[in-house]
Amino acid sequence: MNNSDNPSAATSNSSWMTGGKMLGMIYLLLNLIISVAAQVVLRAAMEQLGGFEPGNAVGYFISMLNPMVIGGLLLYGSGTILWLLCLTKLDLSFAYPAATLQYFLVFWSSWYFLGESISWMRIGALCVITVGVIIMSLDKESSDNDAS
Amino acid sequence: MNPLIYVFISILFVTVSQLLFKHGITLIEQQPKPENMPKWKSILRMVFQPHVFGGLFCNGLAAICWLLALSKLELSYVFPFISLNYILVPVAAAWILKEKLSTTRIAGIAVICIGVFLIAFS
Repeated sequence: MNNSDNPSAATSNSSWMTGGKMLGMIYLLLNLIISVAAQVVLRAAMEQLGGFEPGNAVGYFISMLNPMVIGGLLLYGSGTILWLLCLTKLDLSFAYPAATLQYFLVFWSSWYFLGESISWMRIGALCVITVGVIIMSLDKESSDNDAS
Repeated sequence: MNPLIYVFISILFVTVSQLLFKHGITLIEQQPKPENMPKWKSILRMVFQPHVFGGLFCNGLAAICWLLALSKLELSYVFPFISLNYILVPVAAAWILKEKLSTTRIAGIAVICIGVFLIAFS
């Protein structure tokens, strides 16, 4: 919104918005898969380490420096970069609700890869959250505000 | 100690980092942009802006707290709590950055609150 006094920035922004929708969707898809993979790897790694107690904090933090945790964090970082790339190509009012697919993918992965039991209560709650996010993204004026 | 405390600390750090990012980026945009600055240089300038840098630091702390939460709680239980950021960020932005909070947004926030409560008791 502060680009009006900077013509070069304004033109480069508008060309980003019009072109590359397809590329934006690819970024979004990769972001979904990589972010969910990161969470699954991190949960598996931390479950293996056992529950954290403040009493043994130093030893615990050292044991966190293992390949699985670091690998998970790298995936997490890649997911964040893909999300930022995605936001340069897609409108926030589309990307935000689309990103809630992540919640459902995390549920499925928790059940499939981690053997967690998913109750109907949790799935119902997730649907309620998704509806809330969709309502928020209907607010065109504020999402334009955020995107700038 | 209830391990959910790590989840909430992590979410608070994420909210603080978002506010710092927004404030830092706004400060950068207010400065005159040097002519012909290469893209990598403008990215470095952004990352090392003190508020943005502080935001990145807070994000790191959030990640550590998140890992501590994951060491004790199921992924399908903790993950939906991330949506609390959809509530905290706009509210804090309205309060501290004086951004507008529309009725639509408040309605969305209320619905998300209900969903998060349902998760908490699941």
